[in-house]
Amino acid sequence: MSQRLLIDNVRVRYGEAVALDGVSLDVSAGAVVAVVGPSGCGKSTLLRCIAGLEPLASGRVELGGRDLAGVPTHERDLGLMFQDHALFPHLSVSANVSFGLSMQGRSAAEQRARSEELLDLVGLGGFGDRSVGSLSGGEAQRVALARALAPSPGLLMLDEPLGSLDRVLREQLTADLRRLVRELGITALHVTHDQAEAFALADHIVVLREGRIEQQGPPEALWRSPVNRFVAEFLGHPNLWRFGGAFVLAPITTISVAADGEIIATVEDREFAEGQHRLIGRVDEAPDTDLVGQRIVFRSDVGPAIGDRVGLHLSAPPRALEGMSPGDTSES
Amino acid sequence: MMPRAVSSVVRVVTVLVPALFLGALVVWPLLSVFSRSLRGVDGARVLEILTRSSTRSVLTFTVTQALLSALLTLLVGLPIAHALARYDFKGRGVVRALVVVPFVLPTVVVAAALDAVFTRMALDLDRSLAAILAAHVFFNVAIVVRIVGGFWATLDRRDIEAAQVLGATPFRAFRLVALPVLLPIVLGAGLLVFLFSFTSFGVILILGGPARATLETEIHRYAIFRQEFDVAAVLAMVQLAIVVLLSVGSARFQRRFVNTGRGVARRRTVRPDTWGRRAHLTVVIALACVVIGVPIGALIESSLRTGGGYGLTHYRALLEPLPLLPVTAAEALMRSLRFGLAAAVLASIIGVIAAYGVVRGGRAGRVLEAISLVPLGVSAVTLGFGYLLAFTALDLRRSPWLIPVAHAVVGLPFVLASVVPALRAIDDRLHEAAAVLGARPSRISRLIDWPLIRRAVVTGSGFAFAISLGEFGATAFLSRSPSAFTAPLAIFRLLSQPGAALRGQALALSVVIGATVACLAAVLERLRGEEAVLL
Repeated sequence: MSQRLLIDNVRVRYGEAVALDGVSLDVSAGAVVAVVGPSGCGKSTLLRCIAGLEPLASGRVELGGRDLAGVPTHERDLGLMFQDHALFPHLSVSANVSFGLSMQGRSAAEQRARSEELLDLVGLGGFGDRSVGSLSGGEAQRVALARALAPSPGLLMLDEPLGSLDRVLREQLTADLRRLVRELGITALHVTHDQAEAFALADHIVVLREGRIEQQGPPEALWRSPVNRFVAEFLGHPNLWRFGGAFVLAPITTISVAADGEIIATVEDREFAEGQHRLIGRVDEAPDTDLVGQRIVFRSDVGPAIGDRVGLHLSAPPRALEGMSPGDTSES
Repeated sequence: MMPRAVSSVVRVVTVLVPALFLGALVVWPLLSVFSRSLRGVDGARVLEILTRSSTRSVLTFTVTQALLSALLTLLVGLPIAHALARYDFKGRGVVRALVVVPFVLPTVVVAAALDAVFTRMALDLDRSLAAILAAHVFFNVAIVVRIVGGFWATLDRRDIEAAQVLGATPFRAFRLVALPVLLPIVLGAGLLVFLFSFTSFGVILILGGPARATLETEIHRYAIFRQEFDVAAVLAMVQLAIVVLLSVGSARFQRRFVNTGRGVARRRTVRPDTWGRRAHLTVVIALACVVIGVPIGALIESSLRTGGGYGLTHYRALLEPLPLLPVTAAEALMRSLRFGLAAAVLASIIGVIAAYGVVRGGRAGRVLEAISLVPLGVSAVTLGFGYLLAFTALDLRRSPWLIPVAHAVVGLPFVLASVVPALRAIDDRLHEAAAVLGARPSRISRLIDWPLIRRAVVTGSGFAFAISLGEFGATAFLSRSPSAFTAPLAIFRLLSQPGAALRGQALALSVVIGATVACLAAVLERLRGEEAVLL
């Protein structure tokens, strides 16, 4: 059943290149943790070395108090769901789902019952006899999830599980994943480059960059107080300004259009998204600040035209970002 | 993926076992030929052999007939390839299948079929260049049709359409867009036909006779009848050098000019719905029927002809003993089937192990792949000669087992050609997924890999069986006892004697073997899927 995952100072090298550089992580039993970062940050490597598919240069991985060093992949008690589902093409849907059970030596009747149960759980009741090739992308991904969950692994790992799906399917499957993971109380480690996916599923988020953890914490805390520009940008904050030699952050929700706003900006671009106008402007006037000339992104119910000058009001002062590393000072 | 200790042991075994097999049965025999070509003779002797007028004329004739064969085959094959790729018509599958039949036929059967045509039409082509060329065209048209046609069919029609939209006339669009892509493929197919004709043995021995000697038949004659091993070895080396040079050159050329990564978009076929198209298609199908159908028809018809009419006399006679043959023809056929089975099983076992080595063995795997392809390029006669030299000392040459083993070596490239792509196509993630779900490496091989490559293994071993059934070149060297007398040897011996009754039996036996191989090929073709290209 659900286990605690402990990762202690793990390093992984590919020849000269360092893929993971001293990563430590404590995932308590039943917690859902998302590891996010741009491609190449080492997040998939982290999953692979937990699975024993990648050797560690140093460090320790423990699952449920058991040190996994020297334990081969097939004895690690894991579930893993791949981005491209990796279903066995020669097996039926139910044979895919019961594969792990059959490895545990469960009886045929048990396998059948459990695989039906899991297929019901992911909303694919009655799909058992179908061939894998006949499934749509979303169905294949659900089968992959059922297959990973069937043996009741101590840890469920999700490697970009929704990456290959279109938006509608993604949202459906995200909701199902959230429900399932919560209901089953399973420890889950979710790896993605999509921060929205991470926020939707996880109760703890880890931001990884070039093999190191930049910041970790509950989603809300991360969103409110990113420690540096990298994290803020990665999480999707549009308003990062240079201010007196440092960077400051103004959440888009704190900016509103007001005739008497203290900041005056010229609208350069606009789009309509999710029921509101999203506008990109360039700051013309901003008394007592260095904001003039910087980009400002804000929302509005009425859409000013490109070239219009608008007054903007900040409902909260921008917050300075701390703990910046030297490489963060260049303007993007 | 698996514990490193286990995986490295597996890697060593999967490379080492096939490497030992190929080392003993390919590399060592060839080295024996090489050292024999140098041993005990000084450079002057080698030079003397090379510059003899007889050597020169043999070399000239070998190259000339191969060149003419390649050109004629292209001339006949290209229109057929084009029509099959362009038109969608009823019976397209039948024509495609028909065209491929000769290529799977044993060379002695091909020779017998052409012999039947000439006799039936009372053409005095015996011992002529024309007879050899006709047989080579009949045999090799399949290569041109399958390779060029297969590529033609995947040529992206939209490229040509794009050129036309940009203002090119259809002819210019073809010349500027399609031709540069097709030409290397056409040349590649032509080169393959050249190589096959260059190392052709059975056809030339039967249809050409002593007056039409090529390097291949001369190696055989010097080694077997004149026992002048040094001459045979020097000739074998000359032939090997030319084959290797051309193969390497061709591989380079193909890598540089052939962009095969793009066979995704399907070229549209058109229905022959205008008079012009119908006439064109009719002419091409008629050409295919004449080139392919006439020899096959003549073979079957002649095998059934008896003194006064038609009957199964010749087939029944296969069961009777003949002073000419050490065993009855039927016994030879049974022996061939048994050898074929043994060769297929051996080639599959080594082939599957080697396929793992090739796919997972890194650099060692690539070397293994290169060596395993050698039997494809080296002529069977050279290989047989190598066995003669290498195994005489060990007294293995008398072993009846050497023949199926040699057949397995010749069939191995076909098993690999079938299994390696299937194994490569298995996504690593399937292995990882299975491992995470609790499958040991051995179980992954059994539950994931084996079901996914099974079809390819069956296909490959089927081809190995068919090749063994018709193998003539190496067998001619190795068969030295009645217990090693195979059906192709029987056909050869029956054909090389005068007399209508013997000829009739040769043709009947050819029909039996030909039908067996053709049926097998049809089944395998179905297994392999329609779009697979030969080899």
